[in-house]
Amino acid sequence: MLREMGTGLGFLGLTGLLDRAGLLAPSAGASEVNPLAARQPQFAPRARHVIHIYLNGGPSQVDTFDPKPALMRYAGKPLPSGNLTTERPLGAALPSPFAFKPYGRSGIEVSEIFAKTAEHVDDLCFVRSMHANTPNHEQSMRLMNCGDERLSRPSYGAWITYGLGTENQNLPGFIAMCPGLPVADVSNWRAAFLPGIYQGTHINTKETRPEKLIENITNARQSREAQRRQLDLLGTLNAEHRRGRESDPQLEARIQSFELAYRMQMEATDAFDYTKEPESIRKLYGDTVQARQLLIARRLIERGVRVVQCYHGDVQPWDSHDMIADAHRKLAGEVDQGIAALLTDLKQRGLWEDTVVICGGEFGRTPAVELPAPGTPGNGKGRDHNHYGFTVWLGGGGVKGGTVYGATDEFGFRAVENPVHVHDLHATLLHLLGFDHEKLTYRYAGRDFRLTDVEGTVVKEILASGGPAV
Amino acid sequence: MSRPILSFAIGVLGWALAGDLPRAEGAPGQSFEQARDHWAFRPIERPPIPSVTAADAVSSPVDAFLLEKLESRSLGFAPRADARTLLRRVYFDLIGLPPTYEEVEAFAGDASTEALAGVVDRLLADPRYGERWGRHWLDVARYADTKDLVLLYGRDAIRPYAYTYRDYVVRAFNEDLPFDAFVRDQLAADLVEPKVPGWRLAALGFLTLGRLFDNNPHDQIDDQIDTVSRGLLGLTVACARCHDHKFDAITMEDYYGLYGVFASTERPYALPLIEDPAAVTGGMEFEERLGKARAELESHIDAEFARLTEVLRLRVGNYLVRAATTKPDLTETAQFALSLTPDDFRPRLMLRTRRYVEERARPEDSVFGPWSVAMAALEAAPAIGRDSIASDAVTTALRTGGGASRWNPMVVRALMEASPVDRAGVAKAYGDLLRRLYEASKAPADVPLEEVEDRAELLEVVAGRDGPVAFERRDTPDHMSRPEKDRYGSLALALDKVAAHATNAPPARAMVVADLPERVESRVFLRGNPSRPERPAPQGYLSVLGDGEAQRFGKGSGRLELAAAITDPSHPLAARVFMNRVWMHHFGEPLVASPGDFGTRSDPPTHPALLDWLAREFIASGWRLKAMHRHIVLSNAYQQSPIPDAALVSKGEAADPDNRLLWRFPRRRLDVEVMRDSMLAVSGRLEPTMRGRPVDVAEDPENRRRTLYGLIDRQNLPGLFRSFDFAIPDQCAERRPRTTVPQQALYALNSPFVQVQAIALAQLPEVNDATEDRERVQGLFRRVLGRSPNEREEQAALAFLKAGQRDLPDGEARPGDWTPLAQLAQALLISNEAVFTE
Repeated sequence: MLREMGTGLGFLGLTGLLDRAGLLAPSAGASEVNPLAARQPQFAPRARHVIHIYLNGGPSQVDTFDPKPALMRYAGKPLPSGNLTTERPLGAALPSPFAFKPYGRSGIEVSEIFAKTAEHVDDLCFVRSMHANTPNHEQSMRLMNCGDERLSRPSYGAWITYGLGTENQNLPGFIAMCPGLPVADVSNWRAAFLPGIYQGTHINTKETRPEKLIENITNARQSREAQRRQLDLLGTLNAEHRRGRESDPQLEARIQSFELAYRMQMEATDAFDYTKEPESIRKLYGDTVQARQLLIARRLIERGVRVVQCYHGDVQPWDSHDMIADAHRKLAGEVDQGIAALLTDLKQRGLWEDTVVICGGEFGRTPAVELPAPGTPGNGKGRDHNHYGFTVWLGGGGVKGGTVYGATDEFGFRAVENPVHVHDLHATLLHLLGFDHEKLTYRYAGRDFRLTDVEGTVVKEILASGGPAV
Repeated sequence: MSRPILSFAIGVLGWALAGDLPRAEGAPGQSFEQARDHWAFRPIERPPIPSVTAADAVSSPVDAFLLEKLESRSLGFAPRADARTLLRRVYFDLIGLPPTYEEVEAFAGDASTEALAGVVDRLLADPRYGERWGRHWLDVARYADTKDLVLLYGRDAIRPYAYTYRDYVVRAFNEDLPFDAFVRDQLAADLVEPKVPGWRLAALGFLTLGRLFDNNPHDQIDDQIDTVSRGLLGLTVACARCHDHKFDAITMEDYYGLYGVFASTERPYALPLIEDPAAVTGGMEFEERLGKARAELESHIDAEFARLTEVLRLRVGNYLVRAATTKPDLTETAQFALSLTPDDFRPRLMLRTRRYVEERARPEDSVFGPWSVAMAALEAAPAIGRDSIASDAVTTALRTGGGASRWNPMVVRALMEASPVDRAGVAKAYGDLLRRLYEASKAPADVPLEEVEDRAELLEVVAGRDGPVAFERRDTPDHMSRPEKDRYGSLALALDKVAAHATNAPPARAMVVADLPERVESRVFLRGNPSRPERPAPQGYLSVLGDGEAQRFGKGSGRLELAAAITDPSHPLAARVFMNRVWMHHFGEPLVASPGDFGTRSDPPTHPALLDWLAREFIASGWRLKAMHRHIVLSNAYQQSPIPDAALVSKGEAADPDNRLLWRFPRRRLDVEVMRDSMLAVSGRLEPTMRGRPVDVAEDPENRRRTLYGLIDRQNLPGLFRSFDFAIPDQCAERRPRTTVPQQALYALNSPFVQVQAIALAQLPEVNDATEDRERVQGLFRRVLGRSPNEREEQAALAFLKAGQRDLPDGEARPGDWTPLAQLAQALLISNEAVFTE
């Protein structure tokens, strides 16, 4: 595997910023800073990579990872606690159509539609008390990804890549895979005011040919040999130009960048080529788009990519306003085996301890039925958006497995016990990667910005023992 | 007068109400007077031109200021650059295109400063100049061609008239429109008297082309404040949205004073034509279609406005009851799009009702005096009393009366009759009375003379413009139920779609703004939360820039006064900020390292006197930029060599390693626009058409227009722009980053665009028709680099061609093939020499 570390790619002006954020070895000079060079975080990290399995659209917590038998008692009747205000009018309690049962030594209950994932419960931590601000997709997607609902703020993936660089210079540091685009589009992985190189690279997995996944990654007109010859000529021309200009690092950096690009053509297409996996592995994951994305995610993490997001589908597939029994079963069917395979695969390859796996949506769904109303999509068999309480689970490096943290109320509507806001999740994620979320900052427009703005508390209860003190 | 910036009282009260927000760290406990001592707020001096040892090296005052600093470190200017380097530098800088070989040769014959002055005049008069320098301004203006709304893609997302702003900017630079007029156009072209010509109305795109933030008006205004303040003033005013600025003397009152300016400004649906439809192909037919689409939208709004107004008047009692019995819920205080059903309370009107009652419910109020007294009596009645105790308490209180104030007798009577036992009852009595009177007012009836005024006073509550459930027509969509709102949304989008999908370019319209009929009474929003308006903050200017007190704006929205304040010749910031950007584009590095932040946290200028001289000179020249270009480009500093001899370099690097003092001319990679345009130019394919709707420059390898005319899709910026450090158009761009990443090399090596240009180069007559490879190589070098190859380069190129021949199937290449010659052309196009300017 080709790993090019710190080859002197120029990025003028970044030095001071990295320095302020405590991300720079004191000896590094302006010209030697590669903005994507792997860097040490602020303290010993528990993990070095992130895989986010994004169930975009808002999976229902009471149908997946947060069992609420009380709903059965009130089936068809109003919830005694009343309904909270969400985007659309709500009616009576709607019990889950799915059966839950306990799994593993921990006995954590999981819905039948995630039976395969459930085999791993002893290694996962279910945060059942997540909450956000708004029951709208676009705002909540941006909050989950960028820590703000509307303003142009960098995504957490961009922050992490800014903080840590990446371990493989032949691949982008932050990759977002989605067949098409999720709601809120590229703002989900944007760099905003961070330098553009930290923006997530969107891979549209509707396309399966690896050479089509990254822009300009192949040359349609000439062979590799011919290109090598051309590069050598370019090298001669550039060397000639460099006479008298030897001290300018920009020129050398650009020369190097061509060599990198040349190698990247090979490595990048290879990384995305899941057909290079043995059949047993491909079978393990299954044959859905999301399963394929998860398999590619593992290949990317293995090659040193820092952050990989796998969006379930374009727009908002988990948005089951109607017919939730069918819709959620189908959606879970598209991802359950793939998730279980990914967890198994990460463990057997020794990547588990190095990787934080996050699974969830931008919010959850209401335990009460969504009422049919003019202009609303439901016909009385689904659930509306619910930002008051939902579940996200985590696993891997530094995460305390086999645990449930926090709780929603009796019916799964609102997070009531140990509520964890999205900002807290971000703070915790950065902590796992070795950052104090209050100190990973970037100076822009007169302010030191951070992912968590003025919020965020590390949820230390979900950290495995043995890590640095919070 | 000296007033502390962070008044302790306000601070404590503000923070206490705000809950657990962390306290400002390092908040300046200074007065505005102290703050004005910061270099950027001090008046712009006309500094004396320093005398320097190397007096013969001074050809422009610019040189003297630079030499003064250089000599203090025992440095001086590098020798003059050679003719070709200098000419390429000036071309790239002023018009964004390289000179031809012939132009280089001609200039080499006489490269005197006089000859250079001639070249500069010619380039400044070339329309390509506006395309180059206008683009710099578009970075500041966060220009994009699309809307950032969800689920809106492709042509549907296009703002069909955005380009008129781009064209305005280009024309303004080409015509050397004075900068003060340029600023005034962009803030208030619609208000200027006498009227400006139509094309200048398009300048208002500066205010209308920003992000939409899910249609959140407060964020849109924040973006306008941010663009105006960082873009024109070099101040980060948006930092004062939720609390006073932590480092600069900018208060929340300042922020909301500007907020009031933009909140009193709307974006009308009916945009003015700035082109005669009769002169445009299909223009008349198009206008008819557009007219229909707009009529449909307007009539939908009219219908809903009338219907909702009536419904709300009838339901005013429900709003009063809810206000009297509940606390505001999430829908009223948070900002999110709710799918409203017809029966739902309209969150904003609910909040308005609460505020209305809060303000009027005091004993002396004629209508709500009885309300306040009744509510107080209920409060005081024993908690576990019987209903009769409560109602007695109310009756007694009402009998006691309002003291000196006169109460509306109809209200008192209604309350007495209802004898309410709780808050809801009191509110309901009001609601019933109001509804009864409102219904009665619709039919002609004889009203007893003594009741006329009392009734009118009450009807004012139901139907008056200041009433609790009143709203303006323009806010109708906020209150529509979901199906009507969806219809509104699609009709509003249809207006743009009609134009965006039109085959022929529709007649141009300016994306203007207009003042509201009445200005908004702006207030400070507690913690920036619009549902918590607090102390008044009338339309006005930044206090720190005022003379003791903030200047208040009295006319309409205040935009014209804002423009006048910013471009006042005594303004300490506008000219400095703009000249700092101009300097940055000429030399690569600005004098103040943070062009959008001249506040106390910024580094001071490397050459304060030079910056002041430039700013003063700029104002004195009538805010004419072209005059300033001449001062700068014809200076000796600008004409320095980028590669002085080794002794000079080692001395310079020892004393000033970052070349901040300019002891040689710096080198930088070409901007993405200049890089792409130059490839088109040298291959003879550049299509000089100016103006008009955006085209696809990023994905279409055959597109020959200048990159400036490429579609800028804010939501999905093409890879070409992202990897080559284009200014992200989400926000006012301070300066472009400068990266070197492999994606750029991948573009150079593999993109069809570069290959198309390379093939075209190989087919040029002086290359293709040559009889010998040596001539071909020379032809390509002259075309691409404006010079002949040296011997080593020629040898390498010839060897490359020879080796490539072996790969061709029959040793023959057909025109348009990917021949070794084309590969050589590509290598030249992407070489360091071609993509750097120095």
